[in-house]
Amino acid sequence: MISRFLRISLAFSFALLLTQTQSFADDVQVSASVDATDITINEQIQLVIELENADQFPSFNLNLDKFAIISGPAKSSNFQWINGKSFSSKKISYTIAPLETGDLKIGPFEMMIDGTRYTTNQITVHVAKGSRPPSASRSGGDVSPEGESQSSSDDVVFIKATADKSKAVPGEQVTVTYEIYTRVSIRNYSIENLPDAVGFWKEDIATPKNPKLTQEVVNGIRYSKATIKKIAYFPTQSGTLTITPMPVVVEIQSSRRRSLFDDFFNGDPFGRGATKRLVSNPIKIDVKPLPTDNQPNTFTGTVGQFTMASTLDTNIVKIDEAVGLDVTITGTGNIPTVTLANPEVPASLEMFDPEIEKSSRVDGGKVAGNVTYQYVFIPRKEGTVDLPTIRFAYYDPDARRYRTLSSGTKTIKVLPQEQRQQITGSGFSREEVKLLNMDIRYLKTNPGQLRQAGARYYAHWSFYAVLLLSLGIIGGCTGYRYWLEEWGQDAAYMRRREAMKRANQRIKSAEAHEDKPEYFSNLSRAILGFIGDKTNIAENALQRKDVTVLLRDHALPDETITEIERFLDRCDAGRFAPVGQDQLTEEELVPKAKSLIQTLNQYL
Amino acid sequence: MTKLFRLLVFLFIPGMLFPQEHPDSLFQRAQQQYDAEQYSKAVTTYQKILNQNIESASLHYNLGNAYFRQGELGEAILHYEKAKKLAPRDADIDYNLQVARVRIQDRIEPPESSFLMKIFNGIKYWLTLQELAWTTGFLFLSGSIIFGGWWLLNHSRLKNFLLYGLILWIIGILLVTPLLISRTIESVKERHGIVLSGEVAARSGPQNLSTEVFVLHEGTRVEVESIQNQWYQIRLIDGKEGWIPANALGII
Repeated sequence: MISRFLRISLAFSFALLLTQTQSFADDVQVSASVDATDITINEQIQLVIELENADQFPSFNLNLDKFAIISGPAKSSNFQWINGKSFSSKKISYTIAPLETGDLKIGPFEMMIDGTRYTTNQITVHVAKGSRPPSASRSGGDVSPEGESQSSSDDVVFIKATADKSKAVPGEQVTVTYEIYTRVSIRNYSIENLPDAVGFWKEDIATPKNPKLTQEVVNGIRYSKATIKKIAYFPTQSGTLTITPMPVVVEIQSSRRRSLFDDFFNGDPFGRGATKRLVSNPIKIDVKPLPTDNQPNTFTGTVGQFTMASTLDTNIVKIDEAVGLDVTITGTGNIPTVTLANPEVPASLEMFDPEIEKSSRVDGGKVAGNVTYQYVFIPRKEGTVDLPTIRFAYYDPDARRYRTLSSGTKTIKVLPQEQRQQITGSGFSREEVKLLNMDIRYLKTNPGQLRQAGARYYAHWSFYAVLLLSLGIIGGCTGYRYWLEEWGQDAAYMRRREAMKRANQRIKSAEAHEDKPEYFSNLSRAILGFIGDKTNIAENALQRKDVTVLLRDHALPDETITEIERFLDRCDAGRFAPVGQDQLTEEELVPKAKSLIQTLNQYL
Repeated sequence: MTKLFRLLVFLFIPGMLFPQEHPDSLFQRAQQQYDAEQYSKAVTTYQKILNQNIESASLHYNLGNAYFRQGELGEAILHYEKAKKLAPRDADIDYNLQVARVRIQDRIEPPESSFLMKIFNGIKYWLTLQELAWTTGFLFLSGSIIFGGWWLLNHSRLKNFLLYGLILWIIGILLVTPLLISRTIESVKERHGIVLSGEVAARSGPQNLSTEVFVLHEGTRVEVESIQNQWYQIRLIDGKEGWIPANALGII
C-alpha cells in the first residue's frame, strides 16, 4: 500500500519536475491585493498575496501592526497548461480587520523565493469611521472612533464590543460584551472564531440562544440591538493587552421585496439574503501590576471577592483518631488560582495532604465558584491541641487592597487512648500481653543494708587501702626474697645475726632441764655457741683453751674473761662434780649467763 | 580541741533538736500504710528515709510499688531502675519493672542486639559496681598473698600448687579490672533518665521556642547527653535526639 503510494507520488513529482524546468524560464511575480480599499472600521477585508510561477510557498513575516488577523493564512495553488505553456499561481489569503481609522498601509512584504528577494506592492486602505456609537470608545480608547460618525450605507449592521472596564490588575475579571446593531433584519449570524487574546485567560459567559432585541438610537438612527456574545477575560500579565476583533458573518434578509421576480433574480433564489463579513472593534486593556506593598506571603494571585467558611467535624477525639477540617473559599474571581498553602503543623499533630474540590460557574455575569480543602489531622498527643490556622489571601480590586481570610483558631480536645489492656494486637509480644494482666509483686519486708545514697566505691578509702595492702604484700615478699638471695649465702653473717637468738634458745632449754646435766651443758653451750657464732668458728672446733686467747684478741677486759672462765668452769663442775662453796648457785647461773652474753655482744 | 568540740556540737545539735526517726521504723510504718492502701502516705514515708541520704534496693523497690499503685508510672519505673542498680540480680525488681514497662505508651524499638551481646551484657551487669569493686579488691589482696607464698616457700610441691592458683588469679584480675574500669567510666559519663511528666515534647534546642521534634510519654527511658539551663539533651534507644525540660526527667 505504502509502496504503491510512493510510486504514484514519485511519478507525480517527476511530472512536476518537468514542468518546473520549463517554468524557470518564466519570471516569478509576487503581488498583494485586498478585496476592498474603502471600508469602515467595523468591516473585515480579504488580503491575498499571489505568487506567480513560484515552486513553493515562501515563509515570510506578515507584520500588520494596524490590522488584526482574524483568520488565515489559507493557501491555494492553481496550475494551468495553456498552449504548451505552464502557468502556476499560488495564493495566500488572510482575513484582516483594521484597528484604526484613516489611510492604513498594508505591506510591502518581503519574501525569499529560490534565493531571490521579492517585494510585494504596497496597498493603502482607507478606513472610515463607522457608525459605532461613541460609547464604544470607553474601552478601546484611541482605537475606536470618536465623536460623530458619518453613517455610511454600509452601516446597516455592525458589531460592537464593550468592556466593562479599561483598567484592570492581573487576575481581575474584564467582561466584554459583543452586541450586534442592525437596521435590517438578520436571518442568521455566526461567530467565525473567538478573538485571539494573548495574555488572557478567558471564560465564556453563556448568553441566550435567541438574543432579545432592544431598540437603541445611535447618531439619530434607530438600530435594533442584541447581545450575541459575552466573554470574561482574566489578564495573566501586566501591560497594555489587546483583545483582537471578533469576526462575525451575518446573513441579511433582503428588505426590498417588491416582487416575486425581483426576489428571484436579485435576491437569493433560496431566500438566503446577502452575507456580510463583519468584525467587532478591538479592545485594549491597561493591566497594571498588582501592588507589591503589603502583599501577604500566602497570596497566590487570586483576585476578586471571597469569603471563607471552615467546619470541624468533631471537637473531641482520642489519640490517633482523625479530625476533619473543611475550609471552603466562596466568591467571584479567578477561581482556578485559589490555592491554600499547607500550614505549619506542630509535632503533636499529623496532617495528611488535603483533598481539593474546585467548581466554578457564571453568576450574574461574573465567574464565581467555590474551592473546598478537606484537611485531615491526627493528634498524637493528649490534651487540648490547637489546629493550625488556614489562611487565604486575595486582592480585592474594588477596595484596591489585599485581604486575608483566616480559619481562626480551632481547638480540639484529645482524649487518651483506650485502655492499653484492650489492645492485644501489634507491638506486644505474647509475654508482654501476659504481663499486662499481671499485678506487681508485694513489698520487701526487710529494708536491707541502708547505705549512703549514691555511694561510690572509688570515693571510699577502704578500696585504696586494699589495693595498697596487696601492693605492699607483693612488694614486701619480693623485697624479702631478694634480701634472702643477697644475704643468705653469707654464712658468717647469718651466724652473727642468729647468735643472740640461739643463745637465748639454749638458756631457755637449760631452764627447762633444771637439776639435770643438760642444764649445765646448755648454759655452757649458750656461751660457747654465742662466741662461735659471733666469730664464725665452728662450735666443735672451739676448744675451752682457745676461748681465752680468742677473747683477748677481741680486746675484752681481763676481769670479763676471768668471769667467763669461772662461769664455764662452774658449768663443767656442775656437770661432773659437786658444787664448791665459793661458787655460784644453780639459780644464779641463768642471770649470769644472760649478763655475760650481753657483755660479749658488746665486744664481739 | 575547741575546734573539734565545735564541730561535734555543729553535727549533733540539729539532730537533737529535730530527731530523725529511725529508718527501720519508718520502713515498717510505710509498709502498714501501703497495706492500708494509703499509697501516697507510703510514698511520703519512704521519701523520708531517702531524705536521710540513705538508700537500699528494697527501699527503692517498695517506693516504686507505692508509686505504681498511685498510677505514677514514671516515678515507679525510676525507682525500680534505681533498685535494680543496687540489686541487679533481684527477680522481684526485674518482674515489677517489666510489669510497669509494658504499660508505658512509647514503644520504641531498640536496635537489634545479638545473642552474644546479650550474654556479655548479662555478665557485665551481673554485679553492682560496688560488688565489682570489692571483688577486684579481694582478687588483688588474695592474689598478692598467693604470690607471696609462692615467692617465699621452699616446699616444691606446695609451690607448684600455688603457681597454678596464681595463674588463675591473674586471669581473674585481668578479666575483672577492665570491667571495673569500663563500668566506672560508664557510671560517671552515661546518665539515664525516666520521663516523669505524662507527656513532654522533645524540642530541637534548649528553648521553649524551638520546634518540636517528637513527643515522649511517662516512663520512657532515655539517655542524657548533656545538661544546659534546666534542659536535658536526651537520646532515645533508637537514636532520636532532642531537648526536654529538666523537670520532666528523673535521673536514675
